[in-house]
Amino acid sequence: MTGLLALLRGRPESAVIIGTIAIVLFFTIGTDGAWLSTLPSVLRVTAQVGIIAVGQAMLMSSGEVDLSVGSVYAFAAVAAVWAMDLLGLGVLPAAAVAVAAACLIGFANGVLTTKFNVPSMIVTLGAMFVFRGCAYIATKGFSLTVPREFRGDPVVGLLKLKIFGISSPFFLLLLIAAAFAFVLAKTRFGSHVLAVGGDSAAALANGISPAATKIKAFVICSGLAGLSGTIVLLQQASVYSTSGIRLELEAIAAAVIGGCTLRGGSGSIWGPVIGVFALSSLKGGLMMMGAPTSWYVAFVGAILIGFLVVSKALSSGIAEAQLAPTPGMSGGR
Amino acid sequence: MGRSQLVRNEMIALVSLLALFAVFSVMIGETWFRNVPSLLRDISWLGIVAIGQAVVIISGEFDLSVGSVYAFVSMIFVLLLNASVGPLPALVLAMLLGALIGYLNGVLTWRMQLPSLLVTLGFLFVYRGLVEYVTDGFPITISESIQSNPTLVALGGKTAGFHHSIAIAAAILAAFCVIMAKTRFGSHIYAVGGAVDAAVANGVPAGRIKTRAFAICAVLAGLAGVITACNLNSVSTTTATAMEFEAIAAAVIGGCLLLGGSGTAWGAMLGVATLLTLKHGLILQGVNIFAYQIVLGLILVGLVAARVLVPGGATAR
Repeated sequence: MTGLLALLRGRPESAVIIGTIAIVLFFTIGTDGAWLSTLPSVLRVTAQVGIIAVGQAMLMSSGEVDLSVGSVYAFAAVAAVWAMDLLGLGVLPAAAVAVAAACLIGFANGVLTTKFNVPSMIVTLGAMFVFRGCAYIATKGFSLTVPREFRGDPVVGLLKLKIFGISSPFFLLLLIAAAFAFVLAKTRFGSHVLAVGGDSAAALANGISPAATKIKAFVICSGLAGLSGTIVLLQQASVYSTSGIRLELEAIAAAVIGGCTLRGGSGSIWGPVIGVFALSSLKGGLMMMGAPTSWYVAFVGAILIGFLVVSKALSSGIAEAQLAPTPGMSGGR
Repeated sequence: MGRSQLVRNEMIALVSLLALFAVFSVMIGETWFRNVPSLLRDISWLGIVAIGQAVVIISGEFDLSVGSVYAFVSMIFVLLLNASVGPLPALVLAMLLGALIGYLNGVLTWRMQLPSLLVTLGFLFVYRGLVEYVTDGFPITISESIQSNPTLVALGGKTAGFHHSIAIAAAILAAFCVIMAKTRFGSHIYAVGGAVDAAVANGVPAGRIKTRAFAICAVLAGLAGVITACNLNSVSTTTATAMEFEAIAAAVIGGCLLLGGSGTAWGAMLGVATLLTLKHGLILQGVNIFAYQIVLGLILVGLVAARVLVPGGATAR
């Protein structure tokens, strides 16, 4: 038992791994193994949300949070359609334009947060409104579709390709997660992100620019959200005015379950990805067992709160915690 | 931060409100004035929620769950009514439920030292999921025999063209102006929001104060929900989605600092009035409703950023 506790204490991802195994076992046994056959669609959803969660995890490690990822996801898809429709660009250049537009949004979020001293929650809340509004207006409240001549493009074919029955974006997610896990753990930029998130003032005193580091993290976060939006657009050939609504909340919930804190300073990339997988498994499993989808919404909330409570109880005694009051929106400041 | 700065933040909201009102009166004319009663009704609904949100923000926390609580409490109220619990007991039970919800937020935030942003994000899902589950996607209507009950009319009806909720919101606003400015509890809220360590060192029971702030917020959100249910005679799955964002935006526009310790109830109400005047004006002018979202986002960020640029106004956080 003490060994298990030590393991749970050791790594931020341990809790989410144990939780995920529990969820998978529960549904596999509960549905007599039928759940396993839904694994491909669970992994497809995991790829969509997971790519966003990786970016959110990078940003949260730097001590900020992005509420606009769901809107950026939709807006990037709109931008991609525009680039194909109006500019007549090919699929890959259009996707590049969409991701670049998303990166630009992230840059603006970062500049407003760091240079104008506006809390990231407010900046990205504003961005959430602005780009959701843009997506609504662009789609006229319905949807935009990829022009017909692009739907047979090899890139689209590649994204729809199934390898061992698993849709290809999942492998892209693994690639992206591996890359950012490496960046966060092994590179100078990764150390800067963690340093800035942990103690911004100390980082500055040691010659690291918190502003530059955070802006980069914002760009990564928005860029990945845009990438995910573009991938889903190319797979499904259309973007809806409501695409990506609540995605920001799911991504943040997954990041927290996966071991990121709003206080920054410590972070994990694989944890949030596993967190997304756990939430997607839960969604698929509940649907298979005949529960209405509303259960999933309630469960995500309950799991988020339960996880916070349990991990707090494990990581530090209550008495110790009371010595360190945390403001509601900490952000390493 | 000096009092003059405080006044200025709220003055920005007041000036923009008056300017917007004047512009729309000129541009839209008579239709605009005919719309004023429904504008006031909407202001009173969101205003009640925003006052509660302002109290929580001033105490240094956040409540993202207000929209879901609004829907959840009003749904329970309607269910109680239809289960032939009398309107008054149903109202009391609904308010108790609101208090309990807020208490739970407070306990988890303070006792467990969890960030309120995440705790209330979790409850946003929980209560919304419950609402979606019970309503099953369809509106629940108050049965017709109860609709004309005096208690329901008192909450949701109107006299001489003006909705009763306007008077209720005005009374709540007046009460909270006094509570925040003149009572010990009010001072304690500013103290724990401004510098929690100093407040605790001076013997302020920070946990209890924050828990009460959360309870106030949830009760007011629930009350606004109940009033809406009485007015519309129904509650639906999507009632008040994204309301938490509007309430926070209003509080910030009205001068609340997100780090806590500063802001006023009337500022929050001014913020609500500004936002909704803009919304109604744009709708009446036939501007796409979603353009309102864009404007809302730009105003929110622009206003907070502008405060940094104003000399001596580096109080954005």
